[in-house]
Amino acid sequence: MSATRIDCDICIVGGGPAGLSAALAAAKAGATVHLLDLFERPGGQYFMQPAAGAHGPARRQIAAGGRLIAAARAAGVTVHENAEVFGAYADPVIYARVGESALTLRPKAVVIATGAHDRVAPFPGWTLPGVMTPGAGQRLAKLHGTLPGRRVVLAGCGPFLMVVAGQLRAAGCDVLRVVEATPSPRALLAGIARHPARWGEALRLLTPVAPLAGRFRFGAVVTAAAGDDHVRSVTIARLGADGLPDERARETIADVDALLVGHGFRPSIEVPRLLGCAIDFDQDAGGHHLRIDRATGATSVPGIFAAGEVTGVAGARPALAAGTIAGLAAARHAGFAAGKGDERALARALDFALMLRRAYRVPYRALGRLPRPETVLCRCEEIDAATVAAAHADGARDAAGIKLWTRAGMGPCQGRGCGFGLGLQLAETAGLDPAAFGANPSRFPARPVPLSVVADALAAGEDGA
Amino acid sequence: MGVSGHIVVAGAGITGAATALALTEAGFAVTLLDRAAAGSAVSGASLACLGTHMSSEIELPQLIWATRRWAEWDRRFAGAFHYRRCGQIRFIEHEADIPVAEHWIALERAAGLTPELLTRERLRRVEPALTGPLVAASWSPTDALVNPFLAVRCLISAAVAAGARFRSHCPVEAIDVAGGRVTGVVTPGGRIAADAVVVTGGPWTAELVAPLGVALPILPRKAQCLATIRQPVTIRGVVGGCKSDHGGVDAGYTQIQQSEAGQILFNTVLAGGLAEAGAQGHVPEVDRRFVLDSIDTLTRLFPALRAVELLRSWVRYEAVTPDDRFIVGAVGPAGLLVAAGDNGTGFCRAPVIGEVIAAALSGRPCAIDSAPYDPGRFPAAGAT
Amino acid sequence: MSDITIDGETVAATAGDNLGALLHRLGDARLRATLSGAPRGLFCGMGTCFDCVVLVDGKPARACLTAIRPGMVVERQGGQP
Ligand SMILES: Cc1cc2nc3c(=O)[nH]c(=O)nc-3n(C[C@H](O)[C@H](O)[C@H](O)COP(=O)(O)OP(=O)(O)OC[C@H]3O[C@@H](n4cnc5c(N)ncnc54)[C@H](O)[C@@H]3O)c2cc1C
Ligand SMILES: Cc1cc2nc3c(=O)[nH]c(=O)nc-3n(C[C@H](O)[C@H](O)[C@H](O)COP(=O)(O)OP(=O)(O)OC[C@H]3O[C@@H](n4cnc5c(N)ncnc54)[C@H](O)[C@@H]3O)c2cc1C
Ligand code: FES
Repeated sequence: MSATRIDCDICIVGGGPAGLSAALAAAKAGATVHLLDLFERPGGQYFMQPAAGAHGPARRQIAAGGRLIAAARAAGVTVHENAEVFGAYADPVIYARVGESALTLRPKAVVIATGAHDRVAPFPGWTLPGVMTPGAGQRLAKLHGTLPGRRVVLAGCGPFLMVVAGQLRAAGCDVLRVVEATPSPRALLAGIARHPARWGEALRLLTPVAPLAGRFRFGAVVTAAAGDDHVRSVTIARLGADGLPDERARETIADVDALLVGHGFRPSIEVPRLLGCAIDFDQDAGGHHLRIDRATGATSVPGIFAAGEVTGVAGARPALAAGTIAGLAAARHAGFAAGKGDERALARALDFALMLRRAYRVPYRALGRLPRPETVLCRCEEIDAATVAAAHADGARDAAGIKLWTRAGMGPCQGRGCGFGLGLQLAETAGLDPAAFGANPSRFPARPVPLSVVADALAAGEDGA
Repeated sequence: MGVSGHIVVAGAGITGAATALALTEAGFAVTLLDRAAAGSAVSGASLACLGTHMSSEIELPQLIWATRRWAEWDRRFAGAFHYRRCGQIRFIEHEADIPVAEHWIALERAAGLTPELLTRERLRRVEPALTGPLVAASWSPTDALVNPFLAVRCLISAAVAAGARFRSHCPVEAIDVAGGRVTGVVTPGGRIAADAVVVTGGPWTAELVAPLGVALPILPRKAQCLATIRQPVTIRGVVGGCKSDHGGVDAGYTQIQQSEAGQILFNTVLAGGLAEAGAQGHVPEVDRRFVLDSIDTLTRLFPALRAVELLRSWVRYEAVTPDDRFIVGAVGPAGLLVAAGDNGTGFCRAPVIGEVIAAALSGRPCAIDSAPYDPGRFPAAGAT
Repeated sequence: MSDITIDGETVAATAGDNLGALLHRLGDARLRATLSGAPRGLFCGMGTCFDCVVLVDGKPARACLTAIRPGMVVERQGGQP
């Protein structure tokens, strides 16, 4: 039994670019700031920090992240690592688990910066070992000195594929194919041309993948992965003029030992949803994301601010700018005199993000066609497409109805993994609107946590505790 | 009453599903509507114990009829809703409650049931993981569990197969009345004509019929539940608290069981959980006090579960009446019927409710005594 | 190097390294089997999917979020019964 209770000015949930810049800004304004992050070291996705300092791929990025973390600590920010937030009430109070111990924070204001996670649409073979998200492959290579595989196929949609392709090549993988759903790189190149300030960055991104140019397949999707107990081969198909996979334009890639697939990211909204923060839906921004006031990062709940991917996927630069704005607003809410942050810088960064969003077209319809009746849609509960179709035939019309009648979304991940795929599948096969289809609502606890830790955390949060 | 023609059933929880099936089988054209997904209110949050034990002295014959009907449905629908006769324990923490348990046991045995009082030793054999500080327990071996989601789905599918129509996400916004008779319902998709409307809207029932001058004494009461990650089989049957001055329904109520998927579920109705009218429209997070109390109770009874991971929690509003019984029958204008007031034990009773409504609308005798549910016991309800 | 136990066998490992990465290398990406017997490996690698849950010292843990401790006992099956 152990619980720590901390009363402070500001609690930041998530230690990526958004959370770190919010923490730094708030601490500089004089607030006592505690930052909680799930991982072993802060940095989030963009600034992830390997154990042994900056070497290997993405050296510059790691070093920049290291400087931001050091600056935050120097300004007085207390960083809690391995701290997984599982509960929150709008008092506000934040409950986290650190291993078998409980950590309870009673701040005056909260900044939510929980980022996003990879978004994957189901297809036959996607549960085979060796099929992973690009994010998983990146972490293995960047943080854990482990190759996801030797002969790797990358597939999906978005600039992230290129980033990971370059990093995996540098780490020593044979990147066999990069299967990008967008028809051609033309829109991307034209977009970059209009943003001279980002040319240096673009060059650093494109140079490592230039040797792979011949391995790119634009306008194509993975339609199946095959193998007995491990992925061995991958089938891809070109998208036809109707936007659907053209079965005649197929190619099978043999001797594959890892397939990394992702179609962008999904904002991690489960903690702020516990607080009652309002959300909006935009498939191209990752689906459901927090609704905020861009000038302050304020959510619909007083005292709760948010920044970064959780407010709509846009990348690291907007996350940094928005983090500063939200951190300052949280400090003002906690009673400190603080400035407002640079809204123009945020607008410029968002502008670039919007260009990228337009340059990459996720082929939602094609993805909704990929599952076969026996393809598992909900990985946790092993619910297949035929079972979901039968529930629809019996009258289930939304995520709640499908969940009740099939258990899809009732497992340990609580629908984080299957929500996107279920929505696509039913949009395509049954004409349901993905926005109206909804998602499994987040409920306490946001992540599974031992009963003893829940009890300790809640007891520590009681008044007078 | 003897209505013929088209009947709209408003609300597709277990009460509405059973009612739609009974009406369809009685020969009516039925349209079942729900404003959200079927079973997405209380019925889909239920622990769905079909129990005759320690439930209601007055309704014992109805409960016996209901549990038999559930067993018949299990055979008829070939196990579609995973009926499981696992038995129910009511644990006793205070010596003073033993006579209370003995009273219920005598009553139920006189009605032909087979409950018994267990010593601590026998309790250990019936429910081995229940190692908390108990003095005794009562045991009703015939009580059963069903999968609540599949039960709603099965009854709706059976009704549809017999000719009913079902639409989810179609709220009844108002009930039309002309010349003192119900003529249909208003929905966002348009008006649906009907010769009779049965409102099975759980805690929303009262507000839907209020504009027709019908005042139902139904209030929402918070019921909360916690669910753990899947576990190996640990708890075999339903484990509830003995009715007593120290526990029991009025002072707060506990029910613990393991779902067929392996999750351990624990449900508590807190003392004083009654909310004001309208509260049911907003589903809040579970209360922190409730979570703490529940974990405390669970780990006191089942000490081995402390390290188990909590997965989810939920809150729903049950429909509570002053005397703990459903209100079922005709009220207000001709052709309007209600079936609500589940008082937290409506899953078990659903077959009875369907029968009472079907009998009333076809004008035939009811297979069971419907007097305990008569709306006439509340004059303001305007029973007809 | 410090020894840990995986499914009853002693395996040399480095304290502080990531358990998920170790299991990925050892099992040729195979990490556990589901209730239905289907093989699974790491999927999200960041703690959101729960595909990598194993028992560590008798308690369920996501391998991808677990740092190796000397003497740790890992059972690949049973994290999700
Ligand atoms: C898998 C992945 C890989 C990416 N890689 C790149 C890349 O290489 N280059 C690039 O430009 N962009 C990348 N991105 C995009 C990235 O989201 C942004 O660049 C940037 O990191 C966003 O910053 P953020 O602070 O909003 O979120 P993140 O950087 O994602 O930070 C969020 C942090 O919150 C923590 N967190 C979440 N939930 C909880 C909780 N319940 N309790 C405690 N902590 C929690 C997470 O562990 C994480 O550290 C990646 C995104 C993902 C999802
Ligand atoms: C945690 C928990 C455990 C329980 N355990 C048990 C148990 O072990 N045994 C037992 O017998 N009972 C149990 N119960 C109680 C039981 O679940 C309920 O009594 C029963 O489900 C009530 O069913 P209902 O159909 O009357 O209500 P509901 O399920 O609430 O159904 C009402 C329906 O009407 C719909 N509706 C409302 N307004 C409108 C409108 N205007 N138009 C259209 N549709 C509308 C709603 O969307 C809803 O679906 C438990 C309840 C809970 C919460
Ligand atoms: S691989 Fe997804 S939680 Fe570990």
